[in-house]
Amino acid sequence: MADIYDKTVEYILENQNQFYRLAYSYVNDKDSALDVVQNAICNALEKCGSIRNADAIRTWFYRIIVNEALQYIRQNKKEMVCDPQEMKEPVYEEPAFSEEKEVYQKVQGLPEKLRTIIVLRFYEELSLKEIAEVTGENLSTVKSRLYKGLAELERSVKEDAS
Amino acid sequence: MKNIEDSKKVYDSIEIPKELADVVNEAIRSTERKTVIEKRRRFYMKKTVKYFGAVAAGLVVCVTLGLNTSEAFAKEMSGLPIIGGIAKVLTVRSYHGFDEETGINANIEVPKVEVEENVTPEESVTGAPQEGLVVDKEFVADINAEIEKIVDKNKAKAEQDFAEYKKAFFETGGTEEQWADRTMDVNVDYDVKYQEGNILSFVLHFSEAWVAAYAEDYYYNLDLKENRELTLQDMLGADWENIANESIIAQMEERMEADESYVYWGIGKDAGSGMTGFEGVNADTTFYINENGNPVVTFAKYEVAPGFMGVQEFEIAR
Repeated sequence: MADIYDKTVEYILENQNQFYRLAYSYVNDKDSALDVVQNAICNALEKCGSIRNADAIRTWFYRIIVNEALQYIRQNKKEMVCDPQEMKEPVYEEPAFSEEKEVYQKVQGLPEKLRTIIVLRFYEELSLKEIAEVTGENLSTVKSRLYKGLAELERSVKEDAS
Repeated sequence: MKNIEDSKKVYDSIEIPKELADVVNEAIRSTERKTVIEKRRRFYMKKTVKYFGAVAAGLVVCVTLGLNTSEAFAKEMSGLPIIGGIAKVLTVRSYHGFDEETGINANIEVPKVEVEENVTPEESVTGAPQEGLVVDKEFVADINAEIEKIVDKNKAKAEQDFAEYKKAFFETGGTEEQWADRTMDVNVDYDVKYQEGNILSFVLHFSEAWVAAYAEDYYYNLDLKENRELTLQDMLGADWENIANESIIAQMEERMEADESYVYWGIGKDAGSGMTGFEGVNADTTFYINENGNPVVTFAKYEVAPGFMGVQEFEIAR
């Protein structure tokens, strides 16, 4: 148990920037993202005794971050600015960048379940199997959501172009 | 789709705030302390249980009361409209308000178990022969003392947490202005779940809310005839483990079926995820008794399911 605890702490310290970005991609606000990361760490360390296999820490922690972020959004629905057009901290823009940004914003506009899979697959570069572990869905569901999400993105990008 | 891979650049350019490292370190530090406190609490609880056994044999104060009586008798006795029992839970201490010095906004209702004493068999409306009841006042007093201790200890811990957080805040370059009106909420209250005859079931809730939210519930199921805390075995019989486990797993599967977003770690569709959640009830499994007289097994947030699902409860039919 102490072993898993130490490994979890180590994993958190090493990957904190990633967690923050993942949280931020959901809540779009610095303070909210910090809250999500903090809650996730507290909860993870309290529960890490239930992990048997140290290899599971990675997907398990992703799961906690995603769940905390979704919970945060649900709890703060009224105050949250969900419109990705109004991102509070605009990213530096060069012309070539704006197309990428547009796609990024489209990803944020996807329904929760599709978006989680797209973000984990393309931004966090998790394997489909890992994503299945994170979301608690089976592999075929993850696959079909991934294709559905990509199709939806393509459609909305095209729509804008025309 | 090439675009999506390119858009990772936007994601990767999300700026990491300089506060992140502090937030992470503070979260790790605060949990380490909490784990230590939790261990101490477990130890303390075990000790008290043993202690009860010892006093029950010694100091016994006799209060003879009617037991197998009608609902009318129960009503009469407690002065309450529907629920009736030989004991009730009252607020013994309550304080609300903001403490300038600690920055803590308290909302505290401390309960106390009180045994009805002034009822004699003659007052029974049924007039039927009464089964004798011995209420061990020491037992009740110990429960009350334990509640007080839990409340005081949690409150002290909350004050310490907040003071440390404040200290760390300024040490890491925070200014008075930024601190401004940061406060911490500390809440204590209770719920009476069942109160009938010699059985009393209630829950003591404790929670603190600041940058991190933390909540804990303490469950009390008392049998004031036997002067002891009831177990799941008392409620469900010799086969209690199987009965509870089967019922809980069936209910988990039902709920996952009904709501796609529900997950119980390691159960049903989540089997094979490598996560362990519910692994069967044991002597430490918490429960309360609901209005049907059935035990309701409870799991804290994150114990068997993701945090967004909150505390999970399962009524086990008897």
